[in-house]
Amino acid sequence: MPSDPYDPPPSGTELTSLLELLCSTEAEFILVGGLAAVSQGAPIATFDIDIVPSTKGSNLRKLLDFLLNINARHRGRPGGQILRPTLNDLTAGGHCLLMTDHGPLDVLGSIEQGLGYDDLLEDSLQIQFRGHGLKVLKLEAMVRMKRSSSREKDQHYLPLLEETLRKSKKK
Amino acid sequence: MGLWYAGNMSAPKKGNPRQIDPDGDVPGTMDALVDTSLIDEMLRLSPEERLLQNDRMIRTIMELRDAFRSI
Repeated sequence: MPSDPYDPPPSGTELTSLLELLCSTEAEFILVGGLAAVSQGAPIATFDIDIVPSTKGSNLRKLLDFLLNINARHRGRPGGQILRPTLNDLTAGGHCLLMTDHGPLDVLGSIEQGLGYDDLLEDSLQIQFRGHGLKVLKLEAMVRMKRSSSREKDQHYLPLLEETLRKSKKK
Repeated sequence: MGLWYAGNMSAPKKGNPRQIDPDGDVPGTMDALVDTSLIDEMLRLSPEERLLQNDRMIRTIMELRDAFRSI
């Protein structure tokens, strides 16, 4: 589940710094969600990073090592209990909603009707970010997915994403 | 994901479907739903600049949150 927008991360969070660190691991992933929309021009503020990682080879191991290095722990544990992500968590294909020393990071096994990394690859584009090639889910794909979604939140943001897409095509 | 819209937006109401002009800007259509000038501003930036803009917005929101908590 997404993080609560009314419970923003600690002061000092810089998602660009976290994203840069993530890119420097050379783990394979696709940036999805709010930050992907922002990178393509949607005027929204988002408090976390959502990624869908590749499950191939040692990618998840590489990602896990990175997560543990940045003190990743599952968010929203009762009584402030600290629960670290494990390889099993990442391979299970569910949603790992994590807090790190650099801000919130959601590692999603799949999005929208079970679409994983390989399914999303053809709907992604690569942008240059601080010397790294960053794969981002295309706005077009986001709009398509939200159009077929019945979630109220998706319907809420749909007009904004549609208009951003339309204007970006005109550029 | 935790999202806040940086402008005035409301979801379309039933029986009042959105009108989207596929080719050009039509005053009074999408402007009623989203502040399209914010989109124009964002599209002028590079992808990295847009991400930095998000960081700035988060910082501002945090500062406001902390100020509110200190009352």
